[in-house]
Amino acid sequence: MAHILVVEDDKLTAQLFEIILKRKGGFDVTVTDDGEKIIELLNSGKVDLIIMDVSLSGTFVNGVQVDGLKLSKMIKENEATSKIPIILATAHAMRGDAERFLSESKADDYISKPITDHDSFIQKIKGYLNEPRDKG
Amino acid sequence: MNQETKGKVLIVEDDINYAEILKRVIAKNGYEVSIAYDGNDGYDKSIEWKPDVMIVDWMMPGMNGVELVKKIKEHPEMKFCYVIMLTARVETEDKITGLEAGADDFITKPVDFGELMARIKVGFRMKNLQSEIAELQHEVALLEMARTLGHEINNPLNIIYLALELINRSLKENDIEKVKENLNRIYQASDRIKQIVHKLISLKKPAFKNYVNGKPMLDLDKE
Repeated sequence: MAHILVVEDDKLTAQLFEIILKRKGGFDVTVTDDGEKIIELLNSGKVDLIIMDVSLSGTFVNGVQVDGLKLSKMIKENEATSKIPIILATAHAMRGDAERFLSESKADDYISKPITDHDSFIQKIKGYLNEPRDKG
Repeated sequence: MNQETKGKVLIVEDDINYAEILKRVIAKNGYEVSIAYDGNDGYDKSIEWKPDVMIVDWMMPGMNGVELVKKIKEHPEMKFCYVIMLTARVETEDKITGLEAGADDFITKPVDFGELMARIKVGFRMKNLQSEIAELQHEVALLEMARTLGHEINNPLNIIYLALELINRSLKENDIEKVKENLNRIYQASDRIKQIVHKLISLKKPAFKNYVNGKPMLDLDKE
């Protein structure tokens, strides 16, 4: 079963993401915004996809505070984790922000909050899971 | 008349004849001109008429030119008025006094009318630039407001949509407890939106905080 890591600092949002992904998508889900836990999980090789909130309030990696963009870039620039698909979850209001976020974070895709169509959200995730991971 | 920037010029000069001459020259160039004959009158007229450019004589009985400039520049609506001081003095020390009071430019008597008009034109150019800057700042503030609303309201909205989706499922499964649980989540998210709106309408002086990658957004938690 595919394992999805949700990086989200808002407890209520995180809880609901977890339920929806489990019940609607049938995925294994881990929710956390703890930097060390995230790195540990990624290094274990058990994460198939990451849903990343853009604005994190209390996430630290090696003592440095990171937002979702920085964290995503770190994951993509690490050879061991670079092939894990990352979908940014952004509550941005401005057109153009999302595109810029995407290029800066090196994430694969983004989804705008509020997410209103949960079926296509699940489909989007499945699309990335079905892609061969070693396509280079 | 091929004047492209018409605007208001106020002359503050106690020599009535000289004031009239200046007025004729400036008006001939397409500007709207008014005269005040002493510092106090000049102050009152400037507040009331809001000229774009003022020509202020340095030496006047009562409130002199430097005092007048200082008072005008302290007025919130007049601080961007471009003030040219008319002076018989050429000493550097006097120029420093005038500049420190807030004068934008000087012209020495006897006035060369060509030079006077050129300097007035510069004044209007500066004024227009300042309005453009103010407009840009306004746009930036609006964008920051939009970014704030996006972030602060889209997050609880996201919770509401997720909870609604779960309620739909729970209803199909006849799971009333799950429905209640999600109704409570919707209630919490709605409460957040209510608080955000309350903070927005009670915002007095906007403070900013960093959103992501250096973009500012309003800090609604700063009172």
